Amino acid sequence: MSDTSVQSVSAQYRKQSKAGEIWHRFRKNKGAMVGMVILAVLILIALTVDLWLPMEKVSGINVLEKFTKPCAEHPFGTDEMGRDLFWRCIYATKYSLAIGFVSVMVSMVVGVPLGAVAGYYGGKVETFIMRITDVFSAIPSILMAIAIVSVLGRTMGNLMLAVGISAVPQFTRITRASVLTVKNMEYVEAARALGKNDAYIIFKHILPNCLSPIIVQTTLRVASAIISASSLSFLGIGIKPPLPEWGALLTAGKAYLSGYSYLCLFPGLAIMITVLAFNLVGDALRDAMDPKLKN
Amino acid sequence: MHKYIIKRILMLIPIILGVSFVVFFMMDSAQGNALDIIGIDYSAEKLAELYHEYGYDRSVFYRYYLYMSDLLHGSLGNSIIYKKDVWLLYMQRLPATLKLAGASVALAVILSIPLGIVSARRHGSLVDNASMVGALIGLSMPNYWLGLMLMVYFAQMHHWLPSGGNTDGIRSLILPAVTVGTGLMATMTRTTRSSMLDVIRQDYLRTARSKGVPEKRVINVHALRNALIPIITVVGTELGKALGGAVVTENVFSWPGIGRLIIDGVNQRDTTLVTGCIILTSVLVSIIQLIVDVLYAFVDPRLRAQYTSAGKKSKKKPAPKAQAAKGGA
Repeated sequence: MSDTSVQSVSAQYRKQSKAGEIWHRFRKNKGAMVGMVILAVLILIALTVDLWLPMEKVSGINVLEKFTKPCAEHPFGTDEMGRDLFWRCIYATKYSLAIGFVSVMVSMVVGVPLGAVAGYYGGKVETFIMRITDVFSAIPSILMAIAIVSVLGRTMGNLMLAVGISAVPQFTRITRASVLTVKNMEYVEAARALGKNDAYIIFKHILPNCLSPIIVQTTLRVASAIISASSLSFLGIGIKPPLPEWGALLTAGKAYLSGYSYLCLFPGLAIMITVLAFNLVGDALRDAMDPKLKN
Repeated sequence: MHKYIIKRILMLIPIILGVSFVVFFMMDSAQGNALDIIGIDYSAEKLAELYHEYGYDRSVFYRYYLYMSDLLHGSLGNSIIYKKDVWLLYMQRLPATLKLAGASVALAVILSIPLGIVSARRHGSLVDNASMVGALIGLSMPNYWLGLMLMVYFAQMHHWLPSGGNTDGIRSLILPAVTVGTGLMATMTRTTRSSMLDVIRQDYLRTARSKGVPEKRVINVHALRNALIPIITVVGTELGKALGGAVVTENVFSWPGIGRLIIDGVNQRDTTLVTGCIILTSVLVSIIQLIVDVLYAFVDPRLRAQYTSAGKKSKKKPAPKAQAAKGGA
């Protein structure tokens, strides 16, 4: 009697302390904290920018002030139509972050179940899924994204889809690998002995225990998705220029590179800082969750 | 060992078939084809004739069949816009891409491996922190942006280096190679450091030191050799990435490589050209992967022993080979 209560208390304690322990280690990482603050600010901007930023600041054309170099009034300068680049970059946060998050959601929604099914069932199902994954990952991901966008057409939705699909193989691989380490645990066997069906076991017992590599991968992938999407814009097959998105702003500035290089400098810096923040957080999460580095 | 290599080469076949299938169907379903673009100059009869020749009056499957039967005869077909054999076009452009990829990987290897080793040895020192912050920044920069900024500074402001093309020998190679190399360097430094950190704490290094092996030899021979596997993996994958992913950098510097060829093909809906180029690049990347896997065996005698002892339980890859042929094709 007392034995079981001790066990349940200690189990509860351990459960609390696992997340707590990760958070504790995560918090000690200065880089991670910097990344978190940057991300919080960016997400706040992305979510609220429509509320407080009047559109005339973003797309208000003022030909008299075209190509103003960065100054107090226009911190990032103005472009060929006199639009203030600072406000355009701020407004673009919304689109660039959305592209990053949505495309990673696409890769996750497709890749994780595939990897889970492959790892859980094994055998022919696994061979089939993993061979297809091999085929897709043999195609360099940027070429894959280029091919998809050129087939579907140049819209923001298709861009997200293309960037997302080209990163599916990584998610499939990682999920499969970590499902393989979990699927022979006793608690999975116990659930099976209780007569639970496979879908229940996969979603309730297996995936929750495979989360940490997936979370880390997701964070790092958002970073590379933002870069891939902006690269596609840069190649002229991503978002069409009038829409303010960092890659598109940079591309628009490319035409005036000699003489007005600040038009490329600032959108690029915006991309870099955002990607850096995601990388910092992703790295710290991996370190915090990796038991090998505990000591 | 030979058996393993032959096995791996055979495994390329289903991959090539799969890639050709995926890419062909994707490009084929794109709206509009190259004939619509170049066809403006032709009469209706001539256009109909061309449509027939390229199989556009039949189903996709028929066109895929045509394509594959050509492929089996060793031909990737003719590019519609260049009116030239895709293989020849690819081979014309390949040297430039290889040169760029090779130079940037070489640059990255020369700088990042020593840097990674120093960072690992002085774990937590100023050098370590600085190189890790540097690597993280290098990793976070969009490649093409770095290229543009380098171009502005070195080519347009100071005229030290040419701003593009491949006509100025080694001087025109510097900026593109640094651009691609920076990203590679970031990844390689991080891998070298973490792989060395794993090894450096192990007992046999303490043993080596205590029996009087000089520190230099402990690090460069005992530790590095065991830390090499992850490093080789990264060098291989990054070389593959540099081949496929240099598309963007090639466009920044008007580098006459495969990336530009593919983008031209995409913009003009030249299905044959794009399909051929992507297939060839994928094969190239797979071959590099194969070389990397074989290199493991040279570096690590344990793996070599596994390969040669008729790998039944050896690696995970050779095992599902029988189904692979079916599954992939």
